This record gives sequence, C-alpha cells and structure tokens, in this order.
Amino acid sequence: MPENGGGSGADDAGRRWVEISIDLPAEGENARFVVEEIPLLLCSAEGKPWIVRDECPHVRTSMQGGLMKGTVIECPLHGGKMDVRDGRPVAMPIRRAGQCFPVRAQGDGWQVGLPA
Amino acid sequence: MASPAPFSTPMDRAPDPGLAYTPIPKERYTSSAFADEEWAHMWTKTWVCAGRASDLERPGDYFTFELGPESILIIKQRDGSVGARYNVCMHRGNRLREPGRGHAEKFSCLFHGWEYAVDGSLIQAQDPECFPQGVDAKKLSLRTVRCDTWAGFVFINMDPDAEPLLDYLGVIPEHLDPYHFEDWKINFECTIEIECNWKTSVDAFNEAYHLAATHTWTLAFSDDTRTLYDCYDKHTRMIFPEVQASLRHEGANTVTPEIKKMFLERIGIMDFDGSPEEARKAFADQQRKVAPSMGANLEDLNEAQLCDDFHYTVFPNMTFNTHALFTWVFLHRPHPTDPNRMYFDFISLMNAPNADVPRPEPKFYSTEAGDTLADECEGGDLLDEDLYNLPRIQAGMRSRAFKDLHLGEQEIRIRSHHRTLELYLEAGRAADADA
Repeated sequence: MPENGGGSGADDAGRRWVEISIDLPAEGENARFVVEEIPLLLCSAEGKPWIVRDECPHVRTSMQGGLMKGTVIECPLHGGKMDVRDGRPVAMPIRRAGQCFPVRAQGDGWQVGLPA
Repeated sequence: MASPAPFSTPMDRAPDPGLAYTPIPKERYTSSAFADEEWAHMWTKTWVCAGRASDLERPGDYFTFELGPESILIIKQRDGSVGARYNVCMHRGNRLREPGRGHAEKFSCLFHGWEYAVDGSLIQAQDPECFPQGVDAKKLSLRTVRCDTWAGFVFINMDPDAEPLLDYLGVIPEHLDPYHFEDWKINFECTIEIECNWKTSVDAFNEAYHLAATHTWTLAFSDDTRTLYDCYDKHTRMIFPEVQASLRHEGANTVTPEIKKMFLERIGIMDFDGSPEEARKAFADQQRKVAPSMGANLEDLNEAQLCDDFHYTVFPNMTFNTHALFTWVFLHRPHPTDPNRMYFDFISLMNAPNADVPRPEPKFYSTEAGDTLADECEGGDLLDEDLYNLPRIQAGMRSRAFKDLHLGEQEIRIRSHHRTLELYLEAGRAADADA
C-alpha cells in the first residue's frame, strides 16, 4: 500500500521511517502512541491508517478517544473537529491545522514518517 | 411517545374562525421593539422544534439549538431520555459548545475549565477553595430547559410553567401521526440566512395564493385554485392538491404532460392513458406498491394524502410540506438582534425506514451572498423562487410607502398566525401589568 497522510510533496529524502509499535485500531477508532517523545494518534478511517500529532490544535490536549465520523475527529474536551487526513479544522474552537504524519505499510506492520 | 392507533388524518373542514380582515401593521415585521415583545412574551413561552431525536443515538450525543439570542444544548441522557440545558457556563456565562452536533462525556468550559456532566450537573470548578462564598453545585449546574419529543422531533420550551407538549400541539398529532414520522430519515439539511423577518418567511409558505405568480410553471401539476385552508386554535393546515393542474392552467382537468413526467413516469407508470381521477389513483396505488421495499408504512394514509401536499404550520415557526414518501420541514428562526434577518432551516425527510441513508452534514447558505439551492437538493429550484422574493418583500415593507398588509381569504392562515401571536403578546402584557 502506498503511503498516505502527512500532506503532499515530501519525499523520502526528507523523512525517517519508524516502526509503529501498536496495532491498527478498529475502523472509526484511534489510539495514542509516542515515538521519540512525539505524541501521536493513529486513527483508522475509511479503511486506512492516518497519523496526527496527538495534540488538539485548540489547547494542545490529547484527542485520544475522540469520536470519529468518517475522517473527522471530535476533540473530547471542547468538541472542536479536525480532519485527520490533512489536519484541516472542521469545527470551532479548532482554528489552526493539526500536524499530520505520513504512514505506510511495511512487512506485517506500519511505519510513520518523521522529519529527518 | 406512543400514539393512539388505529388512526387517520381528519379530512373534515375546521369551523371558520371568523377572523377580521383588519390590516396587519408592518411594524410587526420590521420593528426591534416588536421583536423584543415577541421574544419576551411568545418565543420564551411556546414549544419550539429544535431538531430530530435520531441525531441523539447514545448518551452524551448532543446538538445545539440556536433560537434568537439563546443557544440550547439538546443532550441524550444516560437514562435514554432527551434533555435540554442552556448552553451557558454558570461561572462567567461562556458558551460551552459551538453550534453543531457532537458527543461529550462531559462538558468542559474552555474559559476556566468548569466541568458539567451530561445531565448538566456541575462536576467540578477549578480551584474551588478560591471561592470564599462557596461553589454550590446545586445553584451552579446548567439551567434546565423543558424538553419533550413527538414524532421523532425534539421540542423545547423555556417556560417552566408551560402546558405539556402534546396539549400544546392540539390537533397536530391526530393529523400527522398517521405518517409515522418517527421512522423517517433526514436526506438533506441546510440553514439559509435570509434578509427578512421570520414571519415574512412563515407567511410565504402559508398560502397557495402566490403560486400563480411566483411558481407559474407548477400550475401544470398543482392546484392553487382548489386549495383548502383550515385553522385550528394555534395551528393551521392547507390541503394543496398535486397531481392535478390548476383551474388557471390551460391543461386544467386533463392529465398534463408535466403530471405524467414528474409524477407518473417517475414512479414507473409509463404511457398512462386515463382520466385525471384515474391518474391520481394510479399514482397513489403505485406508491403503495413500492412502499414496502423502503419500509414505508402508508397504511394509515388516504388517497389524497398519497397525492397532495398536506401542509401544516405548527405555531410559531414549523412548516410541514407533507407527502407520503417525502416531507420538507421548515423551521423559521428569529435572528438574535435584527428583525430584518432570520434563519431558515430546511430539513428534508424521506419515508424509508429500511434504507441505509447516511446522515448528511448540514449545509449553510445566505441569500445576501446570492446562494442558490437549485443544484443542491430536490426542490431547490422551487425554493429558490421563494428565497428570491423574501429579502425583496422585507425591503419593500420597510418603505415609507408601505403601512400594512392587506390580506385576502386565501391568506387566512397568515391572519390566524397573527391572531395567535396577538394572544401571546396580550397575555404577556397583562402579566407585566399585574407584576
């Protein structure tokens, strides 16, 4: 499977691919994990994995457990909404884009692309 | 809520309410002082539809309802009931949630982090020891708004002493329960900000008198000339014949090409060759044939209900364009501050309990921005013609030349609506005088 998420235009030269240590959650669910001290949220939506920084762009709290409808996650604290495909704000009080990371299949598992 | 059965929609004409033809002052549509009275004595005293119960599947699911200056949280409770609370943190008054739908295990205020449970009770205030006067959870929990449901619609009432919802609705459940709306699904929803008073919009849909001029092309398949008008206490009805050409139209008393194309052929009746009466019967029969595949229950509807628009207005602001397989519900909401603006919610329901219909995201449009619904939804072209009129009616009413509305017999529902509004205002003014 090709990589998805994390915006476009980046190439492998600008990334380090790092193994993800947790299983892909069920469709419509999400799970928090930490890589190199970066809090990340692995989201399963539309049959694909998506990774965003687990930090709500509103007040930087964890979005783990936030309800997902399609590719939109709702922050459990204040109800702001964001699209996990590109970090686009969907509903207030989220007004800034969230940070997204590319993800790709590797062997039996998954890898996240971190900045080099 | 359980409905009595068996039942059928009464077809008898309501008694003439004997309403006077006195002019309606335009200030009711343009004056801020009048809008303030409406708010104080009517909007805060009546039951108002806030949305659909189907949007609240599990405890913690909520949607907001914006009515004038108020925002109300409609929340699925842990006991399965639906509750309503003012969307206001009791600490400093901040709005707890932005307009829209969502899910919350608790409501946390983004100003100082006060937390409320799904039932509105205060869970905790930040640094409670810093309030020498105390933080009394009983006094500082979210304020309750009365809430009840009928036919899958959620209603709220800001008056704690108001009559129960079913009493308020009067004849409406008896008339509309046969449609089994509780099982219908939303297939389109939008809100349109319009530069007109909320009553300008209610009025526009409360008569068929405008059909010939505003929607001329529809006379080939709908009949303004044989429309029946009924007034019941607060609420009103008009039975607006469809699958039948207007007596004004050259195709009157024939099965017009438009009736064949827009009704008969659309539902699979090709090459129809019969009388107008047979066309209506064929259209009704064919709907009964296709209904089971969608899970639609048409057993309690008569032939007229399978052809015509049974158009109801539930006072003050809920319009039903009722058909057997689809219904358009309009909610006409006042603007928070400007009597010359309003919000028009268009909720399209389909009678297809078995269909897998994803809940559509509500869209937002503005007449000021020149938005058009023609390509957005079924019937959008028809609605566009009304939406074009509304800001122009409002602008014209504000002219020095225009003093009051001059209403005829076919506009009896508008006069009835004003009479009901007057009764609320008179009761409110009397209560103020006694206080």
